[in-house]
Amino acid sequence: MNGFTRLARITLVVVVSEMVEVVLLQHVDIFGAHPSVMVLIPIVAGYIAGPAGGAAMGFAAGLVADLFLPTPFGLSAVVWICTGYAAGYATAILRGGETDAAGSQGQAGTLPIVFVCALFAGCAMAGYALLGALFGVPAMLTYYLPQALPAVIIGAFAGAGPMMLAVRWAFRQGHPSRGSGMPVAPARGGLQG
Amino acid sequence: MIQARRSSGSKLTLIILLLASFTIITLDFRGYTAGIVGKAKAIAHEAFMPLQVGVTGILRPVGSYFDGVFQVGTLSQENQRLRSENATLREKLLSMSAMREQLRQITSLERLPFAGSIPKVTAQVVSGSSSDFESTITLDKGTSSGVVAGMPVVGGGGLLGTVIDAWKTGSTVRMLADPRSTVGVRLGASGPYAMVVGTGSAGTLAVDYVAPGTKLAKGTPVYTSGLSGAIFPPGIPVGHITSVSGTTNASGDESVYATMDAGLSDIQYVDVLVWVQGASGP
Repeated sequence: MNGFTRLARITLVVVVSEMVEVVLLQHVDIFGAHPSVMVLIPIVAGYIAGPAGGAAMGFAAGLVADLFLPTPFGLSAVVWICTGYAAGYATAILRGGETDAAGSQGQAGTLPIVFVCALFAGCAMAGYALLGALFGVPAMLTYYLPQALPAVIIGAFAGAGPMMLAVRWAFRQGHPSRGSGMPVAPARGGLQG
Repeated sequence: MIQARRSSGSKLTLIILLLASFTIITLDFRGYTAGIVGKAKAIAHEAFMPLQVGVTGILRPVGSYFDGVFQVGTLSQENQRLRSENATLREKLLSMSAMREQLRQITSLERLPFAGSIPKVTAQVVSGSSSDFESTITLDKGTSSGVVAGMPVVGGGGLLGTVIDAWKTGSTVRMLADPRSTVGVRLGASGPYAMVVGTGSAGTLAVDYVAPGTKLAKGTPVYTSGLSGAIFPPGIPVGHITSVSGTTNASGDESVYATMDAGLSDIQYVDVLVWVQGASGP
């Protein structure tokens, strides 16, 4: 699989996730807030492809998400870059100390992805609220965050599995038997943790 | 050695991406990217709009059903409360017909701005905010219907918010309850001027710049002030005073809260007032 195909797959995953978030998840109300699938993209990417991959996916997903928000363009990207990087870094350390797991795509079954997603999705929301409070909207921290956290964490538990499949598909290298010449990424699931 | 290179490589990626993001935020904040970002946002909204309208049409009844299932206890209490309220309203109805006639006459004589001649665009609410950190709604009317950013939105008996973004087929409205919303108001028909700020909590508004010692009764109506350069026309009902603490807040003003007049539960249709900032009342 060449770089263009991978880029197309990543774009598709980001756009479809945003579509699910904007069109469907707005109608899901958990304690007054909505779950988010977009925030899971950098976390799962960091889990699979390491800190750099997580940060890059955070940048891409953040910019797409910001298209639908009235907040300054790029604000979500900043938070999600850090989230993707931190998720990748923490996962790699817990996996055995190597902090760049770009070469271990798909070997993500040693940690329960649902817990990684829930933890870092919560952190991402807290970071976003903190940034908003610093930009002069303290209610983001005092009012919106407590309401958003349960919804996002529950959403992370539910969405981690499908997002893992989607991001792994986007990052997946070709099978030698299909003539791509790329090594096969082990298909170990991250859900068995 | 290889591991160290990889680690420094990922750190470099992080720094480059963060620098790129902060550059984008700065350029956007200063308005340099308004054209490009505005067009990209409009394209994105227009691409998703048909899906949003379709899915909302399908899911709204389903959502109402599940709301009902999960809130049986609450609904039972609500039912009793409504029965009692219904009896009271029947009594009021008789006096209302006389009052309605009075109102019609007053409106025609004094041309009250809220009920008066401001053109309106009726729009359907397509969805709420896609973020948990803001109170916005998306409407199905946009620039092609004459809706532009800055126009006031009313519905459910009072002011709801302001259009903050509009594209060809839709628009985004920042609700009054959003902490970024501020409205210049008058407390009562001839009371002091003040500023209403969203608290984030649905329906609750903080009333700022009320001088200490100002005598305010609970239930005092709050209207848009419509002072020169105001972002709303005068006389639109905003809410009613619900709390006057008698103490001063951090900025030395009287601590006052109001509840919105506009009912927020399941609003489906709203009116966008075709009125631009700074225009004089009709």
